[in-house]
Amino acid sequence: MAAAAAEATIDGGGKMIILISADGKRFEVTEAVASQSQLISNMIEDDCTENGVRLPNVDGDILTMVVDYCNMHAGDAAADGDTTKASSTEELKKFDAELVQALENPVLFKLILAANFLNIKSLLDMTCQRVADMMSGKTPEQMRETFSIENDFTPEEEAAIRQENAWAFDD
Amino acid sequence: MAPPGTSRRRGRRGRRAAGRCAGLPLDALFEIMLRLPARDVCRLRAVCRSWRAVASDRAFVDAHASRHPGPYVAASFSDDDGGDESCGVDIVDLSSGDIVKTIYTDVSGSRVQRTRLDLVCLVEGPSPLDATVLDPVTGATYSPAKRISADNEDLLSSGRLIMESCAFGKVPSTGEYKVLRLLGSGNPCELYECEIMTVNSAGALQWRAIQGPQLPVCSSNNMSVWSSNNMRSVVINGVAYFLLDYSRLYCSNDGLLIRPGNIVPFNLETEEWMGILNGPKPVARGRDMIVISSTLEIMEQLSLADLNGSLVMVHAVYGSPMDLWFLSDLEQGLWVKKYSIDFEYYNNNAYPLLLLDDEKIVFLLRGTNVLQSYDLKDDTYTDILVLPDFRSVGIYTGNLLSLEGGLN
Repeated sequence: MAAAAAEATIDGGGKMIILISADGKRFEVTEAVASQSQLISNMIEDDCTENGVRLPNVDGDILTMVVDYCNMHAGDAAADGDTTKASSTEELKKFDAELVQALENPVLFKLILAANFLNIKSLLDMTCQRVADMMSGKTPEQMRETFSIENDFTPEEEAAIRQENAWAFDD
Repeated sequence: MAPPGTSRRRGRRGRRAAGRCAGLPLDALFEIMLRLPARDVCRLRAVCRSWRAVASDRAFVDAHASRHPGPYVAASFSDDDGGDESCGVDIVDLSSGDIVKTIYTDVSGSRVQRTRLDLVCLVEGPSPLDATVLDPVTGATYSPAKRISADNEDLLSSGRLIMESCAFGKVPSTGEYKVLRLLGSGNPCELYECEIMTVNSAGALQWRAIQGPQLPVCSSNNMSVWSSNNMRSVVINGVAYFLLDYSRLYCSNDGLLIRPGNIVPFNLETEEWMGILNGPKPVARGRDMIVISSTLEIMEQLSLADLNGSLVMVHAVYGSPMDLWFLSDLEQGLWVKKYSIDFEYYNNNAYPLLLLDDEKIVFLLRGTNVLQSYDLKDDTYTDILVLPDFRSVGIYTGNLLSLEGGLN
């Protein structure tokens, strides 16, 4: 890893690898950018990225967002000295906020799954926190409404669960 | 290439998600719920079956606990709303200062024992001899059917009877919880009666009379040390350690053998008193000069603490650094001075409650009732929390999301 990062700094990008989405879209990124995914970082270490990395459960449109995110945040992960490529903290915050705020729930959920699968901690934190904020303080009824969920408990079952977790319901 | 990271567990959950809860896959829900406080997670259990399954899953409950490591404290509260008094115990996350759970009890005015467990022991309630055990997960309380053991029944009619000291702990080998109490009349020259009670969820709790300590141990009764922040007994790893009362050495012939800082341990499993454990060294002021002062003053300078599972003797001599001696070997009686805190302000007013990983000690301050974290590296301190009563707080090590309580 240290060697890969060093290469990237020297020639301004390093080795390129190809990411292939579920629907066959190809993305060419530097190893430094892709390494923000712990999954891909491990694959690079194991030398199994030669023929491209197939991501069978990430769609092209989601992977586009992930690659954008990783490109934007590549400065974060790179060595401290490399200030030219690093985006300013302000810019990043703005970019991140716009990325998650604009998304419809289904897309946001897919992005969470992708971040989870690819193991990109910062992206997973950010996207999950967005949904956690939507859930915080809501009643089960409001939750079902927000996420279009059907209540499949019998009234007796629901009463029992509320009883078991009574402390979470009293205000 | 096999798709990495897709275990069977995840795969199954993913499929079920598609059918039931439109949109939000359960793998994503798992990750989202990890970032919610315990209270929100418990509410989510009532949304639908599949959400409940995730929120109650053992793997999730454990993952949530490691993501929200606290530390947590249990502290009693008592609100008097114009005659309608409510009281109970709050579980507070020290990392955020948030109350994560409030448990109402009917044991008014009681004090939380300073323990480090997943159960809470309440003492000094409406009847001062009682000890009530509370499980913060279920909210259930456990107390004995009778106030006193059959052997000691006559004590009830013998006049003044007080609980001089109480220790609550867990036997590591059996997982049993036991409450040990020392009963006395308040006369400093009388040795205490000793009773023990095993706490379990089935069957009635019962005090049993056992052999008491043969030497005077320090009383921690609120009458005698109401303003003190010192702890004279602590339970670690199934052993209750009681500081011997050096100030009462004149009471018995054996007392002449007691030196300041002597400790008598009690094994909660075998229910036997063990041999005297010497303290780290004489209480000294300045350059190892033994203080010649009143015996009461010496006792004021000593305190026992449980810092993350180690027995610690606190030497807080006014005008000197506060020394924290860690017991490194019980058999050999070896103590190691790990911290010497050169901050006069802390002496006599501060009690070390908790050691945080990054070289910080959480102190409990008498007078202001503040929990404060002290940074050993920078010599800086930060207020964490103001408690209703500095005497009524313990470390809570349980998991509020677990489905069964500490007692099984």
